[in-house]
Amino acid sequence: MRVVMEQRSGHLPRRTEEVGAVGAGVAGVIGVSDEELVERAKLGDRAAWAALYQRFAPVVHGVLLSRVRREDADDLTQDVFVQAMRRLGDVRDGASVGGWLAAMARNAAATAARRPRVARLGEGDFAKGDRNGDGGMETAEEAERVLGVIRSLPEAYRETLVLRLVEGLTGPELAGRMGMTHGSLRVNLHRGMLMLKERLEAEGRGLTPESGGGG
Amino acid sequence: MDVMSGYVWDGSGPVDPEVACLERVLSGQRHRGTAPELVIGAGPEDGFTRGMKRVGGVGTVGGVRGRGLAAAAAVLMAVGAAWLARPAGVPWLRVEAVSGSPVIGSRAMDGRMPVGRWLQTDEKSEAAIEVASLGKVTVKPNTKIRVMRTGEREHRLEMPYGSIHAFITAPPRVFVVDTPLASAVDMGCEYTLEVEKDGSGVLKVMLGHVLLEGRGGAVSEVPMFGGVCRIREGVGPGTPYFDDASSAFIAALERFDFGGGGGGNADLRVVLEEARERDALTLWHLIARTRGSAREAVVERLEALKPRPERVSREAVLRLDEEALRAWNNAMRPY
Repeated sequence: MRVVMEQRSGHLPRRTEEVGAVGAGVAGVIGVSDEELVERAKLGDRAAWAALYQRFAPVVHGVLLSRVRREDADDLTQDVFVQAMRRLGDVRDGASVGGWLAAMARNAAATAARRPRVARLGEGDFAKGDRNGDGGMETAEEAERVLGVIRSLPEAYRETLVLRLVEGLTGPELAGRMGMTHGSLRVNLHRGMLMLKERLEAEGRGLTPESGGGG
Repeated sequence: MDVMSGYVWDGSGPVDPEVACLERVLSGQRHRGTAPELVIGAGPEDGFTRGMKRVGGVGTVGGVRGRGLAAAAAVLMAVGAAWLARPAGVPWLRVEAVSGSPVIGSRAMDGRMPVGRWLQTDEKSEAAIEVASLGKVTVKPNTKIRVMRTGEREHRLEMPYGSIHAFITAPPRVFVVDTPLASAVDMGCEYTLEVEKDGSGVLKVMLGHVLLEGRGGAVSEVPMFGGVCRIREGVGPGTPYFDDASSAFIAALERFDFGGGGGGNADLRVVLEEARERDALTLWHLIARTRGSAREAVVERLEALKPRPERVSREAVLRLDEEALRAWNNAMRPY
């Protein structure tokens, strides 16, 4: 039987399996601060690790997606979290883990950009309808076109727009997870939206509700 | 698009149709992954343990006695470090191309298959995954597969579609492959598993046996030397059978399990009539998959093929007493 570690014990867990399994202790980490989650994950608490992932994977993915293709963003998100797992002991201020992960994501994207791409399998073109039938090929192509426009924007706006429009994070959520002030984020978001709208219209791709792919 | 609207900022206020449209178009690109398994000591080069809190450890030491304690502590820590850096704790499995150019994510393989990353083969490529020191999984062409978990207690793969050949010498339940409609739980054996993109598939066991656990709770135990179990959408694992059963037996069982051609008592009758002694495997599974007079007919036929042990009463079998069913199953082996 697996034992969920709900509080810090006075010793290192002898085996990872003795600590809360993913899912088993998730209820115990709802509403827990980033700092607390980091400390608990350092001790091997799987529920805390899963909660950290749930909270920050969209941020990491969004930061990556604002720089690389979707299929690469998926892979690199996993890479970033595996790397984060290995380096979690280095985190001194758990409250800034969001910024730390975002920085790792930016580095991962930069490294990936320097690496030559291998030929892709046709089946592996995950951008086209690989995910639970969530839109089909036309919507995926349209999404890639819009993402291409977003990626052409200044860096400060790219991330904000992807995190808001793709990952579905609100401004306040973003500010909390990225450690940014509401003011600067609001400015980035609004300027970015304005610029995106102008670029889409300039390219004749102004979006209307009818062009939304039937979502 | 009102770029200053509350909807843009926090989703409040009236929906901005243009922003909502963008959200709809882009929502398919959203992150949907699962967390890599948290492993303490994720590799000798990692810093995970470096800054890890060492609470309740050796405490403060001083003087000669302290130095002795410190030395003892150093030995303990070295042993601990070796344990933490043990190969089983590394969150990846070794993988190599057998033919063609399989890829992991968007990259060529570099010998490692990290947890969470998809390995994909095309029609010309195959790969071999080394499952720690327990065995090997050969990934056949046109397959998508990834490692969900790898550790001392469990190695778990996910295969949405494709086919594998597994040869595993692990304790029962340590090696598991999840498919969309069922999980193949290794009980120490060799088998092949094929899964179509709609989740349907077939499991064939050469050695040992495999439990095929359906999402709805149905479990089929598939034994060696030709044990087969099909998987279908809406049903999950069907009833296991031996591949050398008569074609009439197999066809009737398939109709009974998956409803093709009406499936019902007529098909069950064919199954019972065609059953050989070895097909006790199938009939034993059918006890729990039938009711009333149909169940009685199955039990009666099974009694003729593989007599019940004296200690197992027919009444207990008919009410699906788990202990009685298991005792009868044990007594009827080998098939």
